[in-house]
Amino acid sequence: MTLKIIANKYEVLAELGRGGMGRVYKVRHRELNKIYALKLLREHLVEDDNQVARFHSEARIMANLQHDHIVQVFDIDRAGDQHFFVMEYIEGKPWPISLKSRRLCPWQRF
Amino acid sequence: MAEVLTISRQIAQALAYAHQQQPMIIHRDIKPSNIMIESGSGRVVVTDFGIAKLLDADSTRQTLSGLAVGTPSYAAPEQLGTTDDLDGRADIFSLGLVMYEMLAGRPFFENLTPQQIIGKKLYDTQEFTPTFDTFVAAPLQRIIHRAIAKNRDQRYPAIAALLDALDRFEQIETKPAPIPSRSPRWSFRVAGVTVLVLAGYLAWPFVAAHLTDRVPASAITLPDSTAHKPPVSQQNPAIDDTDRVNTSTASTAHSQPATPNISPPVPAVEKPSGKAPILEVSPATVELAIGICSRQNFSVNNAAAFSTFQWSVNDELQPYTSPRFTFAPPEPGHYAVRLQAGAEQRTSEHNWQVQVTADPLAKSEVNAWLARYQETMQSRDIAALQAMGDLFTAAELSQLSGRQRYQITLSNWDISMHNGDANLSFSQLERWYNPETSTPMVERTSHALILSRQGCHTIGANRRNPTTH
Repeated sequence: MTLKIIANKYEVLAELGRGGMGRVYKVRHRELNKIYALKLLREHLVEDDNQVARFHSEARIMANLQHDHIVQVFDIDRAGDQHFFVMEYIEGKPWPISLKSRRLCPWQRF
Repeated sequence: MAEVLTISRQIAQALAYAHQQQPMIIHRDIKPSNIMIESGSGRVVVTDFGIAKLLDADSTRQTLSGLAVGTPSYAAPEQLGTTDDLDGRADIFSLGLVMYEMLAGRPFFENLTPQQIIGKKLYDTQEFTPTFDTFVAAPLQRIIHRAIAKNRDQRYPAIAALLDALDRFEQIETKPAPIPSRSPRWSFRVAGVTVLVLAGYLAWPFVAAHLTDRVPASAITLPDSTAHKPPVSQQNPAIDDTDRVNTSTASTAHSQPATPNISPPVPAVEKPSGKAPILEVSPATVELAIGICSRQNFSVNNAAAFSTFQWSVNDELQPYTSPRFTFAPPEPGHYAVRLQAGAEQRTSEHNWQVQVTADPLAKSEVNAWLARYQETMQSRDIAALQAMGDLFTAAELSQLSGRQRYQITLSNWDISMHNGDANLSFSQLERWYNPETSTPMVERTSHALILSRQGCHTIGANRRNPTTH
């Protein structure tokens, strides 16, 4: 399934990553024209109440943390079988990438 | 290293904040892929609280479900067991591993299967010891060592304590007050077979303007006539007792009977009157090396303070722009190695003159070389000094020409040979005087260094105030 629009308002631009519980997409809010990151619970987990609860718990925990160095959660919602929450989009990279480039040559490791 | 510190502190701040919540929130899955670095700003953001845990009375339903989705690589040992009283120290462990990985450039548990990692964490009694194949300051190594202790009681009691330790480390690294050296410690490393290196080691490799901007004037002024401090020569046995002029009150005012009290040649300098002059600082130095080797490693000790590097040999730019640089002389001869390093608003230049000889040097040859070096020093012959490699830049030289009064103190002279390794060291204090005003113009302290084929030796840290040594 290729996602185009989630909950009729988030336009999927790219997949940012995937984990055990869900995938994270770069999305554009169609009304606000703002870019967010959206985490979508994996389809096969929506039947599992525990997993759904955990997913929501993550969103709630993060939503309650207001800190410069913790990713911010703005919204949590579901549309049919799609459980998702919306986070600030961070233009950047997890740093294994930079480490990898560092590993290219031993001089650059310090 | 600065970058690593910045990242680590931001992660730690995020965790400290989460741990402070009521109820406490433990992330439980700190690992590189859960840490984002924002392009441009460099802001570090912790993500993925997917297995984060609210610690309150009701949530005793500790499960291993979190681990099922994660990897055991970064989890604290107690997370892998059946403990149901996890606390913030689990995150400290994970952060310690993340810090290790940043500094070492590789994961702590590299090339191990998850089973092996779990085995090491749960059943192996040996403590985890961070090891690095590049320079990492000892205090920082200790911080990581403590963070990744298997027994959480041995770790920092709270993330705030780890943050404190990082802050203290950063202060020591970057602000060695009241010493005027914001300078990095440079090390000169030599690897290879039978190498002898002699290197002047400049305490202040930075451009004078930067130093004088940052340094309190009092820290780099000479003591005036009423407040002399004993010069270096009185604290350390000096080498040369010829050509003693000894007109400087500094040499005699506070002599210490226990030491030879031998002064280097001192120009007839009058006591500075009134306010002590502020010294200029030589921005660059040349270091000498005689080597018999196929390879030489040059490196900068606290490389992380610099973000850019540029190496050149005989004015030819070399391909590696990093703190470590290996130079393989194709044949015996003379090579000029230059490092230009930059960080924020600072730039620094360092030079090595490498004389590569075809055959190993005998001790007598080393001694002869040293004698020649010292003689040249005492000769005050600028051209000869320049030819020896240890002198100022051409610009400084022209500034200094006609002002040839200077004082050199050599001390702590030592040479030894062990199994073909040559170890050589001495300290050298130079003061250049303006002959018209008799005021000191330039002062610098150098340390000679040591080396051996056994590996790399760090030149002694030179953070002391050169005027008081």
